Amino acid sequence: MNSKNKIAIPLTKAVVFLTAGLGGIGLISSSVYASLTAEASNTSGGTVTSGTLKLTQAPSTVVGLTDGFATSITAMAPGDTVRRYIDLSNTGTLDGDTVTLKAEPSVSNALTTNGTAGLQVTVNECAVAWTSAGVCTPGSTVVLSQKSLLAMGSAQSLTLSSVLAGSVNHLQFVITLPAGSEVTTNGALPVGTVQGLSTALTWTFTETMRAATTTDS
Amino acid sequence: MRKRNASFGLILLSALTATAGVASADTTATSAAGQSTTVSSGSIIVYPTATTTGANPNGAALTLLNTNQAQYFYIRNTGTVRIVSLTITITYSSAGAKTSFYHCGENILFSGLNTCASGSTTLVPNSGTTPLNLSPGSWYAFEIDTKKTVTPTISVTVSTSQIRPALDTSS
Repeated sequence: MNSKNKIAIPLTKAVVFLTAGLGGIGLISSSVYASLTAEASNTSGGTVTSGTLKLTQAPSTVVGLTDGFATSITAMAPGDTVRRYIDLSNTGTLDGDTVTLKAEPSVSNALTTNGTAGLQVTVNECAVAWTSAGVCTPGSTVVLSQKSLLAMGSAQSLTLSSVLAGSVNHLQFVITLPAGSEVTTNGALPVGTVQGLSTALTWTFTETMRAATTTDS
Repeated sequence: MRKRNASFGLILLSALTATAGVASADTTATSAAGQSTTVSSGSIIVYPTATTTGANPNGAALTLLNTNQAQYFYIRNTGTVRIVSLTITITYSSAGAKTSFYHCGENILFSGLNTCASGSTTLVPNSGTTPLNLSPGSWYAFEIDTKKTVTPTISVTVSTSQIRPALDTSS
């Protein structure tokens, strides 16, 4: 036998041995570096709920003061005043921040566009329900000083006594047609008159949420 | 290029979402549909006319006959507001006419010279403000008796200070 003829190992066998060797090394490495994990979780609580911000308005339930916004006001003469009573409630679970009021007319005419002779609105609040005679026993507060309907086309801030969740504001809407100084001559109404007109008002309250909070607990 | 457009779209969507998030922090209560407040104003429509059912002359004065005999005319209220006084202005086609001027009660006709069908006549000043409680849909009859042949013209004005007392109602 020639010294050069060493033990010959077929190529295929060599590949098998090499692969097996590497696999073994891999298994050993895997065993060495296996990670350990541990978990902990709560077994109770952990519920997260979001609050709600809800604002509703409804006619007063006091007998004699239930006309609210839905009942029409007819044939107002210059100088007349009509008072309507609304309960504004924060029925959500979140406190409010600011509340505004806007009145949008269905038709534009002198009642709504004449800031002086047109309709005027004042809003008062009573800490308790108004009496059936429209009186606030502890004394009312003005939450919106007199504004023309023209101005009410833009949102006006109300200074309510409370905007907390669950609060109810007993509001009195004072709607007035100023006395003015119009003169009818032989049956003809003056130009630009506030007489003989009609419009439908949609009242919109808007409440913003209290400031967001960050708590550590 | 397509990738850049996609990125821009994502940024825009984020901006819109953020805006919607802020808006949703407001809660609005609006009068429910059909619950808006209809407000209508009344009207003061008072005018002189030749009959108790005469139409609104829309500003035109009433011209009576050229005579020295007693004549009758009416003042109607076809508006929606009761008045408590009005201003009557009588002008004549020539000066120097002496006039007797009367009216009967509301919705009462004259039955003869200076005689009401019911009740008594009320003397009316020839010019200026006349107290007259005139309800919507009603009228007053007037008698004008000139002692000279002239053509009287009657004009009536009512201001907002001559209507019923202002109402203040809670409901």
